[in-house]
Amino acid sequence: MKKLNLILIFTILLIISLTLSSAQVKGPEIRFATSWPFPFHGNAFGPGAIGGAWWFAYEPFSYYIPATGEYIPRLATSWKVEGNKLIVNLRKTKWSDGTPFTAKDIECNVAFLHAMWEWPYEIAEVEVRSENTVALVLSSTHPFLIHSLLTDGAISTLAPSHVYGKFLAEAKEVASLGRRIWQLGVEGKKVPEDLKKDYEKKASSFRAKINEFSPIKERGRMPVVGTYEPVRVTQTEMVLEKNKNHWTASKNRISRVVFRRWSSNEFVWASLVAGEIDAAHPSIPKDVVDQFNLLNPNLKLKAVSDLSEFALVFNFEKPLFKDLNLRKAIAYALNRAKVRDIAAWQAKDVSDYSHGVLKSMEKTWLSTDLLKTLTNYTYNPAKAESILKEAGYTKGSDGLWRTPDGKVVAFAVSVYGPHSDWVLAAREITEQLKNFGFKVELKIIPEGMRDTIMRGGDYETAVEFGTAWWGYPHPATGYTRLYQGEVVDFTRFPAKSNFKTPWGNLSPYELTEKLQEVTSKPAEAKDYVAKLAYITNEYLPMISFLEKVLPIFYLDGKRVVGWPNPEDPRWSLAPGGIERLYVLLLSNGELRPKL
Amino acid sequence: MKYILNRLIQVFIMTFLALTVVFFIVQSMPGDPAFGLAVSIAQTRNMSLEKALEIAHNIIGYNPKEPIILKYIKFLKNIFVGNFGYSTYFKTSVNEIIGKALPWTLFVISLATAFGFFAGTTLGALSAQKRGTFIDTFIATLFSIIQAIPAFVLAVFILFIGAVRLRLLPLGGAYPVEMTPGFYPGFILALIHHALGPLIATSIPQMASWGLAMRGNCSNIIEEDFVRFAKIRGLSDSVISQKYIRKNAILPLVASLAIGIGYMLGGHTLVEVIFNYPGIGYYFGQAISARDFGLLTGLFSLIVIGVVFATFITELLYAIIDPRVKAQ
Repeated sequence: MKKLNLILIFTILLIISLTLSSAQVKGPEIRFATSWPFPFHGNAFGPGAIGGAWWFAYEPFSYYIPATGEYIPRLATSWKVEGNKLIVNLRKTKWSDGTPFTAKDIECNVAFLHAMWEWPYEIAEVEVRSENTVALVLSSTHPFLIHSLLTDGAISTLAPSHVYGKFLAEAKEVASLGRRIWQLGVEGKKVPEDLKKDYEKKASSFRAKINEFSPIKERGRMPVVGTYEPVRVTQTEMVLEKNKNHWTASKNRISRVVFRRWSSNEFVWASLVAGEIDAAHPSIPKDVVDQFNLLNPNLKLKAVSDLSEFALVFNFEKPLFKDLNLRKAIAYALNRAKVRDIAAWQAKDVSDYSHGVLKSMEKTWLSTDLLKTLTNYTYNPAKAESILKEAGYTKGSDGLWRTPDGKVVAFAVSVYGPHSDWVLAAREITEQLKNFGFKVELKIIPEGMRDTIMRGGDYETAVEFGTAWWGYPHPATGYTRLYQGEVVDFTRFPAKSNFKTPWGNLSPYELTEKLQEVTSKPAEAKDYVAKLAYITNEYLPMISFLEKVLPIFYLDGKRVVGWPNPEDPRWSLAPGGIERLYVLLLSNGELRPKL
Repeated sequence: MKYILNRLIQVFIMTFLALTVVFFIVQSMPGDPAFGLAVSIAQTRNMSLEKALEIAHNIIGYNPKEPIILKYIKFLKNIFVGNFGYSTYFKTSVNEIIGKALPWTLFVISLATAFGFFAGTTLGALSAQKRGTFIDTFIATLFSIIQAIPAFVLAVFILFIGAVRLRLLPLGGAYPVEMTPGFYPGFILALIHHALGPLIATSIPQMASWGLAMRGNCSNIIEEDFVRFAKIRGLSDSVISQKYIRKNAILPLVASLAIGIGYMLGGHTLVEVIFNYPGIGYYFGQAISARDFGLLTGLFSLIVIGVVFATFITELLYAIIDPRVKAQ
């Protein structure tokens, strides 16, 4: 009887405590999952920075919507490029502790970026023109740099002058030394040893000091200019409260953001299904998603382009892959839709062309007329066979294809081991090409060796990122990657050579340079994109097989309502910082409490 | 006293050797703590990986060229004064990390170990005594099934059934984020409620393991002459069970329990990540993925010291509970 009483008392207390705890929620809130450093220091330059609170606490000059090419002003009200200067008019606003936000904060911030991160040295000087106008004097006005300065959350508000100002003189000294060294490097000059040593000594001592600095410990809070300020952080939860001084505060109707630690995908799945978090973007197998829909029908899914494609790339130093006929045969012999189903079922299908423009942006950049002129590589093994036969390849009695000079077509598909979706794709590609009659083996690249092997050219074909519009989501970024960046470094594709096109003989390297110059002029840019798409599709430096997507799961109607419809172009803001999308919707007042 | 002194000297030597091994194993791990950052810098700034790695080393303040012997001497000096080192990833002392995370780990894992050990040994002994009956078959089969289930699957099962379907367990955290920590009934009950999931997921496999071991030990002891003699003497079943069988069967398990207590200091990474519960295990995961050699060495050192000292204390306890050791 005694035991029974004890159990009863315990149960009652438990229920009371839980009721009490749930009754203490203050105001409307929204919940997400993310990660952050703990012990929490509140210092963007400290280890792990401030984790997933980044876009909530810091604000860029603007947001860029890839699907429309539109810039949405945030901390800047307007801007213009004048000569070698980017002139930014700042919004009249305040830090969360009430201190006015001014151009001096930008000056302080840039000095810290130079001193702590050795970046972006392209900003030669910051001119404070007035309280709310700042001019960034640049060593280059390349559109990629301008875009980065306008949209990167780090450029404007990491180091409030009234918090970090005490370190500013030291920051400026380190920044100036670092920039001198960088400038000498750009000019191809030798850096004097004493300058190098002086810099290393001062920079290392400065960084140690800043890394140890914790606004939270020293001031009890971290003043922010963004929409929410982190106010309470434990190892498993981070609570942000609305910045009452933010310029959108009157519209924002959610007073609190609660982050649960993204400790594992399983925890995030459980939290989504149970309605404990309102949105997350975990990678989930198809069968689990089907289960989710059964368990919680209110859970919605929006798959947004992650602005990159997976591709099979060729090593052009290997004689085998210099033959365009072989590359075309591989393109036809691959059932790319099946590869996509196996490697990443939610990804976008790209099984027709391989033109280097993201499938999700194809309609924006490529006309139907142009697409008609491109070779459509939809799965067609018979076509692959006829191409090879016409080119003098033969199939032996062992079922293996041989080159015109009688060698078995044998090669390896290399893939970086830690990327599990790449490995799934590589296995399927290997099997399909084996079945077609090539002697193919799979090679796994061990962790940490990807760069060494790929840049060293120690592979024949490999699964890699193909086109990727990271940073500045524009075809120019994708083609820069293909013909001037990482892909050409890996493949040694002769990008500077001329290729026959309907517009004459053209070099993709030069076309990419021209495209970079006209990124802000869509009509001219489209012309170059069409030419580059033609070369990419007809000369196949790589064969793309899926467009990666970011699956965003969200609950409409649990705590909040007002998620945009699936066609809304603002979803495309998610890749590279999904929290920007949440911040935009919260600060506009679109995401609002469920009544 | 001499015995204790001798054992203390042995403990000291053992700790020194184990710490040395830990240090060199961690140092020989492949990878560079700045590599991830370097790749990101190389991609965003379009520069070579070598240059990016140099910048990344500067940013995180890591010097890969520091001689290993200097690092070793610094490590030993620090450990000697109770300093478990410095985390390059979290940029804070390992002591601070241990101070923040260890209480949660100890809270859950000590409760789980205590529950697992007592429930397991009691049920294991009962099973052995009821050999051949339904109770024995039920307990032995259940424990064998639990042992066969991977810990990960069991934890996910408890999470989805307990927290998602039945809504009996809270999802994540050590207490509701709205509550202010303090020593008051509501908070204490919330703490217990939040610890239930990790506690069940940790203690059930332990219970099965201890239970099967106890069952085996008891089964052997039941066949011993002194048990038969006790029965002939007419002692009751409960006295035979308590004083003759269980006491003798549990002795070999005490040593394993001591090692288990030592390992407790390392936390339970799997359970912590599945339940999003705070503790040392999270830092192990972070230290490995970020190649934070300082943190990894510090945490391993903590476990080594924990295991060595737990073993030492067990030996002292052994001397008290086992008359044969006492006589020696």
